[in-house]
Amino acid sequence: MIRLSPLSTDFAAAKRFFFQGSTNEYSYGSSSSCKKSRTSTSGTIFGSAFSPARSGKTYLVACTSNGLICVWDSICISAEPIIRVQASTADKVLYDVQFIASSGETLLVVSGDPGILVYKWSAFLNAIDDLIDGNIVLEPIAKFKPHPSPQVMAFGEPVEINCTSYSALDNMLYGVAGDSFGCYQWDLESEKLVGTFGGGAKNRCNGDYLHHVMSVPNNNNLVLTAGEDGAITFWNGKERKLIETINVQDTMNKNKESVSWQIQNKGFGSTHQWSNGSNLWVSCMDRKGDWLAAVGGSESGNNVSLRSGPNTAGFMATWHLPTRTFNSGCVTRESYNAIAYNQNLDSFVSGGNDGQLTFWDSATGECTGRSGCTPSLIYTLSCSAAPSMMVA
Amino acid sequence: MPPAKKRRIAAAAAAAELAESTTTTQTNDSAQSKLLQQHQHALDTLLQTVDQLSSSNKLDNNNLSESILSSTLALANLKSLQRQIALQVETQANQSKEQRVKVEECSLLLENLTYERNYLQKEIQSLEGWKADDLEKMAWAELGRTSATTTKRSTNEMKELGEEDVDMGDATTNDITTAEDAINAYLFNTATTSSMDHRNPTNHTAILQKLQSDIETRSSLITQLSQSKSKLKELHQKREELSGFLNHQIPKKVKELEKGAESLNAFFGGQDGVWSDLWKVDKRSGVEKDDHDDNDDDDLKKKKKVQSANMLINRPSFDRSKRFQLAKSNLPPPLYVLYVQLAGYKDAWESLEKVGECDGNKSNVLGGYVGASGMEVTVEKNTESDWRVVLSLSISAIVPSEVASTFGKGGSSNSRSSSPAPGQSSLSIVFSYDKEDGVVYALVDADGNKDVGEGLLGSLFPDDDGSTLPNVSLSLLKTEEEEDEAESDGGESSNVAMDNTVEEKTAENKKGKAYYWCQVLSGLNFPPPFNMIDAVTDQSEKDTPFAIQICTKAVMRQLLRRIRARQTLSSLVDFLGRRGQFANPIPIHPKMKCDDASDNNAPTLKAKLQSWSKEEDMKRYVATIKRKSATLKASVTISDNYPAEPPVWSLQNEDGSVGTASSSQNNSSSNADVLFDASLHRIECHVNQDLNKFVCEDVEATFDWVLIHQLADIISSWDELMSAKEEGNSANKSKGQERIRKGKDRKLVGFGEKSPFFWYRNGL
Repeated sequence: MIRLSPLSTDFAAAKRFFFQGSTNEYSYGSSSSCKKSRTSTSGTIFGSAFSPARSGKTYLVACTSNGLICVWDSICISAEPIIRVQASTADKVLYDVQFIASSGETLLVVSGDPGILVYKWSAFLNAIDDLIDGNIVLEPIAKFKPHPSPQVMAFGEPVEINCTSYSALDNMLYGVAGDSFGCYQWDLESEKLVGTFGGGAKNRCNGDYLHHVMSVPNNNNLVLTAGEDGAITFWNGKERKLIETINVQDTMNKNKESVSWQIQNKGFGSTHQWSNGSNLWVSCMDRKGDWLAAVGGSESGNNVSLRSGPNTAGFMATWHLPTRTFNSGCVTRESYNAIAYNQNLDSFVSGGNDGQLTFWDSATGECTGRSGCTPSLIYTLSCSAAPSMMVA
Repeated sequence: MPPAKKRRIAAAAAAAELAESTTTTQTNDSAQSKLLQQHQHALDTLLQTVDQLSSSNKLDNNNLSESILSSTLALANLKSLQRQIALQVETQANQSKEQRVKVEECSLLLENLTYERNYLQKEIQSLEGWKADDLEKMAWAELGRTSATTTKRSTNEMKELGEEDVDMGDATTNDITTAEDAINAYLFNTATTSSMDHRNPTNHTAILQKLQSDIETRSSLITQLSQSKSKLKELHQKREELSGFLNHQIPKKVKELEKGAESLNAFFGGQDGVWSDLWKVDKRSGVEKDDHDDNDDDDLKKKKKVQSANMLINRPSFDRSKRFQLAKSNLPPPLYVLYVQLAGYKDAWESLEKVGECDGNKSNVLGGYVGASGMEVTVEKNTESDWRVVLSLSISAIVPSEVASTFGKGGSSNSRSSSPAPGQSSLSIVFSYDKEDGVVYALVDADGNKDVGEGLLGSLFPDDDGSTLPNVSLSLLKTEEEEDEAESDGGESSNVAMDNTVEEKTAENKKGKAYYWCQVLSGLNFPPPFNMIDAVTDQSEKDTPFAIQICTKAVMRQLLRRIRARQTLSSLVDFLGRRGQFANPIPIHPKMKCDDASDNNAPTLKAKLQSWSKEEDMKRYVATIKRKSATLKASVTISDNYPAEPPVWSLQNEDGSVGTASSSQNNSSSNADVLFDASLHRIECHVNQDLNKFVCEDVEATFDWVLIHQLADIISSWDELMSAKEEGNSANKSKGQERIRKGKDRKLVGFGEKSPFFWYRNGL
């Protein structure tokens, strides 16, 4: 079952009297809003996650562009969240939300402009049990902030953490930042920064800021980072050493026979390749067992096949993780911002700027179908096994 | 026993019986018959005796004597009986006579009575059909109906129309079909029943009581009426006295006042006035002494004095006699009220402006009076009976000077229209009163300047678009009549209806629209339009106290705002269309320019406006923006209610990708193939949402510049976007370089830095 959040805006439909009766100003949500009411401040949902089940009940948690953590009951999702926590000031964006289990306790990790904020999920549950509706105040049990960045010139401008990942093996928390320091590694127990990788001089691989980090539990504590430079980098998390960097553009061009191109919505086919000027970025990754799927986009997009077409394009590509070999790829007209593996459908689902959910076969990497979606911009996808549910 | 003895005994018995009978026969009729029987019997006995005597000649003497004796007895008896009978007969005769007399008397009486009865019966018959016209009229009147015939006619009409169940409001009223019923209903207040008939004599007393009570009521009413009449007479007399005072005394006084003020006027007023000469001299000397600070205070005081003295000129006061004449004329009262309102406002504005109290932003009583030089209110006579109030406004005086200086003089005139020179362009609002509709209409005459004049007065206040007649009761009545007519003329062709619509439209064009605010200014108390009521209700529900109260001040403010906005919009659209690519850099309102932002500091934009064109759709414009080889098409839809409803921009890249978020819900098959560009969407959101970033709230005129401000920001934002792409494409993504984007949404970090409003927004 797929449930879609009711989120959209239309300029023409809304009358904005800012001259006569300034009280009637409307607020707009660029893609999605956590609250539809006119009086409320709408924001964009950048991250979402389903909570672990508690006596068969799960909750949907989302973080917004105006610093809110919103909690919905996953059984009956309404426009109004049952709980809202103002995690940071309204001008600071929250990009990611994760549930981790550490020391036998479920923690909610939220990251964004204010850094990483760690909450006890039990505090949220207590608030829900106490039937507290609306805005509540909860203090995080831990805060992790990135270094002051030389790239951030404006005074007071924060360096954001775009994504976090937790490694249960060594109780480490990884967070990818918007500056050249790349990926940060914190010890969750001691709450200390262990180190950074991906952005430094020695082992720098990612040339631009990072979008996504994924920790793969294995012997080497494999950590994958992906970002604006269009590369997926494999790291040894334990030693913070680079294992391998995969440039998506080069890989797809090398394996062009395994890449299908979408042309003007007429289907997939023909073998082409990215041109040199293509500016690819990897926005999100997910895996099914040993299979890794990554999505992203290309900005200049002056690729060969679409010379007369749009100057933006997106891609979805899969790799075999242990061997780090390219499996399949697909270039689409719209860029993608999120991908998630859906157990119930046994397929990857991606969403991006086309306002549609695209379903990919997890074995072959082929597009199996598309489904319309209420928001026109999708930044996050979350799947829940029980109950079978997916939010975009 | 011998027969003679027998006869004697019989005679004796008869005599005894006779004797007995004599006592009873007098009183008893049966006795008479008995007497007659005895007489017959005695006679028979006598005859028998005589027969015996005649037949037996040989009888002995004894027998003879006996026979004679018995005969004698019998004869005597007979005689006595005859006598009794005779007496009785005589008595009977007397009685009969008396009886006859009585009978004759009775028969005479009977005849008289019969005659009277017949007469009365005839009278009753003749009166039974008598029609009490007055009573009938009164009964119908009391029942609130006209007459039986009318009712019948209307009932028949209704039946013809198929309205079988006509609800007249009262069941009894429906039963009344004849005059008799009506009278019964009136007299007994009930439906007609057999017992309740006014022709039934038994109801006579009740009817009399009813009529008497009615007569008493009427007499009291007549008394009251006469009293009221006398009062009315008194009031008439008073009115006559007062009108006499108004007609004779006031003009006299006004003339005296004017005469008295002439000298003052000559002293203070006009260019050649003594006071103005003095003021000029003072002013000149003030300039000369400008360096001396000590004299500044004196100058200010003098200036104040002059301004106060200028109030004495109060030129409008000289129009008072004219206004009074107007009041006396046949100018319809609503138009007169409207005229006084507008003229009063003009007076107030002019007076307050002279003393410097006229500030549109002030919240006190004197604040909020906005106006413009050249504002004039006049009354014109259209036809003999048709009057019009004309409010003339000078557009050039309303439009701020920066509009002309920025966009050039050509902006204020429509190049296609044959309007006069921009500096002299004027606008008139003609108010006329329609007696039939009972409302005041307003029409704009903009000297052919369509950009300003068209729809100028529409929705001056929310939902007051003049589409519905404010006189609700009359409009409802008209609608019903029209419906009736339509039903009756159901078979007619639709051409007639079309003609009517065309006629109505022409009439509407001639006299304008009946806006609610016109009625308020004219003193006509109509309920506000429904939507306005709803809006007010909604607002009260929302506990928001904001609501525009319609008054002359509010109307003038809205009107001047609208004219200023229209003219500014017209100017800037004309400027963009005329200058095209030469309009770069896009001009912005001087108030929003940074003082320190010299040309050197201003960021140079590679993106330029290439062309500005108007689509077929009247209120849609397309701006083509170029940056190197890239092109951006920016379309804007402008509402009639600009800038209250700000323009809505939509952007499109040359590859067809758009910035408008089209979700699956509003995706149509036609635009299913259109790509979405998140970067353009961000710019769209910026220009369409963050409206307060394009205006300076302290300067109202900046609201009129929203369109061009949005365009300027679109150009700058797109330029930033394109330059970011270029930088992103370039291989120079070395470390230490300042980051371009951030976050999952890849937002440009320096978004807005190239905006011409960057300095203003950052308070620099």
